[in-house]
Amino acid sequence: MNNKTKWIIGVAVIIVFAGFAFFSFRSALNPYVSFAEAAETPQQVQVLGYFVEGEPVQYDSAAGELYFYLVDDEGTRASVTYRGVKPNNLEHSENVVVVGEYREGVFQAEKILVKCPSKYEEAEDNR
Amino acid sequence: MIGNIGILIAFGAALVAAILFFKKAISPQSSRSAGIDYAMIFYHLHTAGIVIASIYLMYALLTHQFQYFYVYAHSNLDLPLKYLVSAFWAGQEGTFLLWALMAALAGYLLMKKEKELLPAVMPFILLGQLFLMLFLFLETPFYHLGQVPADGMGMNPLLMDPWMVIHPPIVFIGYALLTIPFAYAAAALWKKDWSAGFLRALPWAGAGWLFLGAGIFIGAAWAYRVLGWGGYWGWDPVENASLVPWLTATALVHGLVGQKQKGRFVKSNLLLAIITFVLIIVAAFLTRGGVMADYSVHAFAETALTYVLGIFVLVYLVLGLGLYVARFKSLPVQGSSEGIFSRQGSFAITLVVLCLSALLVLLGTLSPILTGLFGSPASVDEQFYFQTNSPLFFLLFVVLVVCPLLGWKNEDFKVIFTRLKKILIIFPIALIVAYLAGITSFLNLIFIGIMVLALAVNVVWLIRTMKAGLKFSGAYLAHVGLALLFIGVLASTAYTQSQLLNLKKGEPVEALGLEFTYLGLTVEGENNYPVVQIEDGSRVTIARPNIYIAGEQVMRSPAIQRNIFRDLYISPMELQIAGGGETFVLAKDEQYQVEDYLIIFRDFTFVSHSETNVFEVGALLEVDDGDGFREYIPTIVQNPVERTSNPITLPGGERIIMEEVDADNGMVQLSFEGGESPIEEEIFIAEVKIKPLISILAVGAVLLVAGTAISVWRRFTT
Repeated sequence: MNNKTKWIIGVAVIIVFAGFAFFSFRSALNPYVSFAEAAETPQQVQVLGYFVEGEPVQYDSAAGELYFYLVDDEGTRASVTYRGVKPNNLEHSENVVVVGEYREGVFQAEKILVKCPSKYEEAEDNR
Repeated sequence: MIGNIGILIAFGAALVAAILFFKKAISPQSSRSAGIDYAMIFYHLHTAGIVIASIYLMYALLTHQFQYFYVYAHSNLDLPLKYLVSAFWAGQEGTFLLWALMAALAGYLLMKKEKELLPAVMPFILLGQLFLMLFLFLETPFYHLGQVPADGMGMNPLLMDPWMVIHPPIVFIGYALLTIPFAYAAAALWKKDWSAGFLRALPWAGAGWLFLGAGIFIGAAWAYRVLGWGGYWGWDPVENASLVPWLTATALVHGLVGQKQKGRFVKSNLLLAIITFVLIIVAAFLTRGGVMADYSVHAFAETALTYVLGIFVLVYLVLGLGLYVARFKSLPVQGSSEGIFSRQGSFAITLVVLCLSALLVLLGTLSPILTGLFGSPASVDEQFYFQTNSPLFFLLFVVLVVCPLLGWKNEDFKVIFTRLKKILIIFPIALIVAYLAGITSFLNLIFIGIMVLALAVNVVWLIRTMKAGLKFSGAYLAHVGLALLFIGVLASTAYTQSQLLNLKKGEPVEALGLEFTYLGLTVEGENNYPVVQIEDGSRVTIARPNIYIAGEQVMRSPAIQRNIFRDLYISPMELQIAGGGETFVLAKDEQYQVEDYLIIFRDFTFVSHSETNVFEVGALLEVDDGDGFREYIPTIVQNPVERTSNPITLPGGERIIMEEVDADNGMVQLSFEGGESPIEEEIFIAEVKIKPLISILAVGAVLLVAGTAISVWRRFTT
């Protein structure tokens, strides 16, 4: 193999891999949206929401899922369901990010992201 | 006061020491020791300042000086000693102080070992210290509240774990040590001493890489054991931020070994040393600087610190790359003298793969910012990381298979094949075993096959080198560990089974091939242990997950039962007490006839005890027992740990229990129990997971760290 062939193979591999990485990147993107936008988007999205005072996180044992209410930055209130383990700190997080889809008037979360505990304390830092 | 004075002294002394070292470095003709002695005095003073500040902070924590905000916010009177100590690094300010302390102490080791390049190396280390001191001015751990609170807010219960006591110091030792290769690279470029001088960065790069890696594994172990969702890695910005420099540090260490053996990779190594430390500050910038605040629930808000951190990144990036570009033409030009079937070739592939992987993880981490530039921000999910890294790591494992078989010179493929022949039989065996174990995906089978083959080859070479002495077997041990680690990662990522269980007390439930029976709740102080019996064929074990209240938070800690093949991971969700009678749902003003009673639901009543986190919801009912209507209010009390119903009793002894509330639609679910024998049921809800080969993963991580440690020890002693 001479140097020129090596270069061509190298560049071709890089281009193919870059293209593959780009498409993988594109397809894995979950946009950050509000609940109103989520309702109109048929794909998986993420919404930053705040818990509603007086509405505890409840577990529906018949359906096997958690349900709770969140209000986003625009003030839209949505009910959220989630199948899975209640993350630690869930009730005490001021805000959480829910990743999922808005279907039939309910935000069905696949994942709940809760504030990392090592950073948790900083939220109370109101100097 | 004392603490801030310490930081002030440390800042001033670092500045003077940096200038003195710099002056010494630009005037090489004068005698060697003269200028150095003064610089050393100021370095001692710098370290003394940091040590004073650190000791004072530790003293303030141990003696509960709650007038300091930091002490107030991260500890309280009840905290046991080990967590009082670890409260030092429970917050941002403390971690910066810890970082500076580790870097200052590492400087002493460096001054002991390095003589020739020292004056040129030290200014780059001290510049970093100046930035850290600046952060400590901006966000001091000695902020005085102006009053003395009676008690502190306490530590976040999730941090009260032995792993979390040692995790931050280990990571920061790694950060501090990885400053040194940067300083060596910069000094080497400056002094044009990139062959012998720069090579002396190898043990430091190795040690920093070792500590950062160990820190990452400890963090993962903590997430798995404590966070309770069964994962050890979440591709979170905070985690990724430490993974990216670890990947480039791995490339750096391999490149430096190649440089030591064959004088290759000089250009890549200089660049990698620079980039690795810049990535470490970028990590601090991303996670503490507030840049990700809108996109990650983990990040801090934007403050003045953001800008200083940004400047820190820019200064090191411009300084490092500037020197690199200025000297680029003088750097040795090295053509590809050996083909890919040489150790040199396999090192080159390793370097490229690791850098690409680092770049991809960085891209994923930055995705909200990058997409934000072109429109609405979006972030990638885990899929991206797995998809893009798997071809890279496949290639890496191919290299791991062949690398031990290769010499530094290029070899014929046939020769390699003959060396591999006997071991190659393990490949089809691995495929068959994996297939019989239930792995049917083609890609996963191929992955398992290559990883097992890499494992086998490296085990054989490990045994061979062990005969020459443990000292020389570090690399093979680390690669055996890496193969085990990835076998565990693949198995536990792709083949975890999970199921949500409603366990009624005393009633066995079959799930995941096991039989679970909830035996009842054991309460010990603040801890509530739902006791679960697990039957696995003839073996019976007991698991005790925990639901407890710490301060104001409800914590759930999982029960993990492990053996070699799998972990059984039980995450507690909640305890419910439910009635067993006739159930019906009523909207407002609807009625329901049950036995002799006519029940009408009128409205909800709410009682909230928000400070204790208890909510009480009631249903206002009117019940006609044939004798006219009477009002009753059954309620549900929800506290963070469990939900209980307060039933009402009707004149005939029957009870009405409120079971569920749908406040949005104004509906309530009630149940009616006959007066004779009210049946009450206790239900424990838990998610159970079977996660295969977690033990293999853990053993792999330990061997990887051990192998790395052996190699680093060898580089320091020879």
